[in-house]
Amino acid sequence: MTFMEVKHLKKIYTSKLGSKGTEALKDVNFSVEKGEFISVMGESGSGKTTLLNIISTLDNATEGEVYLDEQALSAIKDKKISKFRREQLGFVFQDFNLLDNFTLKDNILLPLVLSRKSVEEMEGALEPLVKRLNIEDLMNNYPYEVSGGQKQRAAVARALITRPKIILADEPTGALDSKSSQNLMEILSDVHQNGQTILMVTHSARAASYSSRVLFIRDGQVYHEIYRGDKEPDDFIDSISQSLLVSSKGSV
Amino acid sequence: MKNSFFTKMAWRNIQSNGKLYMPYVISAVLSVALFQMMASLMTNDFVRQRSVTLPTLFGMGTVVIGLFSLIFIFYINSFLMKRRKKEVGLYSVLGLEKRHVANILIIESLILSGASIFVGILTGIVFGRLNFLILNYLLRLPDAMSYSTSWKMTGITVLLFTGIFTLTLIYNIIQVTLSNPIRLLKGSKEGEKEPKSSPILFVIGLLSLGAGYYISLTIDNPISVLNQFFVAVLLVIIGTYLLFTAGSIIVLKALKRNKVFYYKPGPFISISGMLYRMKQHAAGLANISILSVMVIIAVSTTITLYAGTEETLENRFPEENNLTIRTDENMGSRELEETVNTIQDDLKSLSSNKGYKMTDQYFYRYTTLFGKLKDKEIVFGNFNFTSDAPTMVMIIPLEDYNQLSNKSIELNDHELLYHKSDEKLKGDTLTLFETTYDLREINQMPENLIGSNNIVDTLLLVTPDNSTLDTFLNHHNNAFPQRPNSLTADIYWSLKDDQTDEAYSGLIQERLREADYPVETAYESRDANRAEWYSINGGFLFIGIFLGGLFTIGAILITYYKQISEGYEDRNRIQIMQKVGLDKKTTKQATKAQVFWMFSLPIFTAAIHTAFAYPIVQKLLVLFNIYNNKLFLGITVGVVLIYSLIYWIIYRVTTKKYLNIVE
Ligand SMILES: Nc1ncnc2c1ncn2[C@@H]1O[C@H](COP(=O)(O)OP(=O)(O)O)[C@@H](O)[C@H]1O
Ligand SMILES: [Mg+2]
Repeated sequence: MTFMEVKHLKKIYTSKLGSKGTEALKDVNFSVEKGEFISVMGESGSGKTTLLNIISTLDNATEGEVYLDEQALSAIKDKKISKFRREQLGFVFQDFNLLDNFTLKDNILLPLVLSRKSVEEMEGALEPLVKRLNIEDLMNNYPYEVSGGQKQRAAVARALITRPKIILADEPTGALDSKSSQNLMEILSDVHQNGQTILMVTHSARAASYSSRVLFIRDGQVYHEIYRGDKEPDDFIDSISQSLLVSSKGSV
Repeated sequence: MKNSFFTKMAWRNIQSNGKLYMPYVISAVLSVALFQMMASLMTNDFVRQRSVTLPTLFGMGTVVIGLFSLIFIFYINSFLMKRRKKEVGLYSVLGLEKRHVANILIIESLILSGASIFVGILTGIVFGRLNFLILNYLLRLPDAMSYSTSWKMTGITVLLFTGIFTLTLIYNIIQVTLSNPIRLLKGSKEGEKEPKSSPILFVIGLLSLGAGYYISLTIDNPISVLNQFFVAVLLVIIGTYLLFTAGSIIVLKALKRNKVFYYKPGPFISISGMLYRMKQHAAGLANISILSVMVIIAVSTTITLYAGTEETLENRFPEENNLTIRTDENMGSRELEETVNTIQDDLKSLSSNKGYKMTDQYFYRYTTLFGKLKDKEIVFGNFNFTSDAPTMVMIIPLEDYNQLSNKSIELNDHELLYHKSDEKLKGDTLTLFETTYDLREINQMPENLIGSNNIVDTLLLVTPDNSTLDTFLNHHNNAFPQRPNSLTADIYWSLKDDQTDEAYSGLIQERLREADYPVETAYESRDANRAEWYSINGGFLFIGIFLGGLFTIGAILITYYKQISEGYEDRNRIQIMQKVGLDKKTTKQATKAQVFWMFSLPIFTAAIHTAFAYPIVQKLLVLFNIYNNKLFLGITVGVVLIYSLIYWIIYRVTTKKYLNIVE
């Protein structure tokens, strides 16, 4: 079942001075099935973040459309967009984006508070989640009191707590050491096993190897994709690396 | 490395961080200008001529403004440093040694503080003159005020602010050299620790505020009011600071503990936001409150003084004309009465000859002695006035008392009437000069006597007849021959249709000079005093409005800085929250609530302070012969309302700036 469709997405950043502008996305097409864990890979500047920002409704496409559950994102009214973002989407950012003046608990609860959920409901949702992510002892700590890996797990908890249709992650391991990265990817993989749809942007082949499909993006276009299928993790990393190698050769 | 390198570096920093430095420099410049103007007023001739206490009051005001400047500049500096730590950390990582970083900071600070002081003093000089010009034009007072820049005070201003900036520089250097680069790199991101609530400070604040309020409410002797006034002001200032810093945190934490209340979008965002920065901003709020009280009190009292000038005149001069007659100690009361009658007749015929018609002619005789009340006895003698003040005893004969108060009271030989404004006498007899009298209390002082007796608590005694008064005086003078006392008589009269004018006063004065009365005379007319009183009170009004303006600028400054700095701090937070689904409407609601509290708290506090300061200020006004409480109340309420309006406008404007930054 097609769950999300990205059709002919184009994005041109125009500078205020009226010069030509940068074409970050040329013509991006792909679709996501429910329960898929997709990685988007590409060189720095290839338009990954731009793509993710458009899907997360943080930015508008110049042309093209993104459908989530057959709903065109650009058709959502401005007033509804925040509600949509908070209820249907979950975000994990490279630099965590936790708020320093909230405890981890309050950071995680933020989307639910914004949705005016009751305290019981919030606490009910919080407990199992933070247990699973192994941060239940840190609930009363502030972000500056915990490690990067713990922060990112809190950020994942914040993304998951609303039971979003899709998790959008932009280089979630980018600021983490290899051990924390692996830990985080295991968690995301686990979340995926439980049926969660995930779209992750990364440039790490190791991180991408946890997903079920990898899209390669270059010059604002998806030029290649590989499925994990039944491949062993190590084999999958190899194929990903191979594809990356080809792509960099191809671009010369 | 060469110094020119650091200079270049420092200069580049300042240019590239213009957005950050601009509010800092503006605030610093205005602080310098405020202080310079305030200090100049202290030595201003115009101010010195108004009253002897004014320079003292201004001296205190200058000290307060100096303290404010210190606190305020540290406050804006800490904000600046927090945002710059990252950059400084980067230098260290890039290989600059700490002393090199310190060099850059020193040069930066030299440029910034030098410019601030220089521009600030210029602003002070220009602004001070401009203000005086405008106020002179607006108020059109009888004599124009002149403003002079005191170079001595300007020197002091330069020294003070050099000191303050040096302190902040030292503080910055210590901060930079003590922390490691990694921490610095995280600098502005690393949140301040959640403030701890400290109930002890809160209680001290409550006590201090309570004590200040108590003094204001219970004070009754206007002479001692000035010292107590300062003490009360100090206590209230301390209390305000403590309550804002400790109290706000306690309240916010309590609200946060209430989960059902806290976990709603509005409170969730605003409480956490306020709590996060309360530590530094509480001081700002307290400053605004106190400045606001100063504005309100300075303006409302001086307006009252000016508007009440006519009343002051009527209290000081119950009739249009008054003539005080002083005798030597040999003249008895009967003889004095005869002299008074002669003079009265003389003046009456003079007036009618020249076509004036006298009305309401009356007089009273009295003497004033200093004594000490001991239970049911008064002991007279030499007192040390500074350590324990004696009671002033005013003695007047029944005849004159009855005439003054339109009564026909009768007393027998061993009875005295008495009135004491602050308390009743214990017991119903009083012994003086070894004779014991029965006492009868008078409830109300005759109006003519109020004016002269308001400053010191006086014991008024009414003797049954003239000879008793003479006897008292003789006893006293026999006991203290080196400091004999004598009788005084005050003669009052008005003319039909308020005819008293300069010509009439001249006529009377000429007559008094020529006629060779056997007594000393001193003539005063309400009319001749009117111009002078209006000029004096106009001067006060002028100073009050000038001060009000200065303090308002101070309050605007802090408000502006607070909003801008909070805007930058909140922007990041709001953006993150919007990413995870905070909508514009809730953003607006939450920030509005936050901003509303920050707005109304100081104004509300200022209003309460003003209410409690009211009694003490009222008593201060009595020193200036203003008894009209309704007038003062009305004006105070009006000033509070107008000030709130002004503050509200300021807040609207700065809030817009805040929202622009945040969104
Ligand atoms: N806000 C922006 N304004 C102008 N150009 C931008 C903006 N954001 C990204 N770009 C440009 O668009 C291209 C794609 O950027 P981005 O999506 O961030 O790449 P990636 O995340 O893959 O590194 C880059 O050339 C970048 O310079
Ligand atoms: Mg990117």
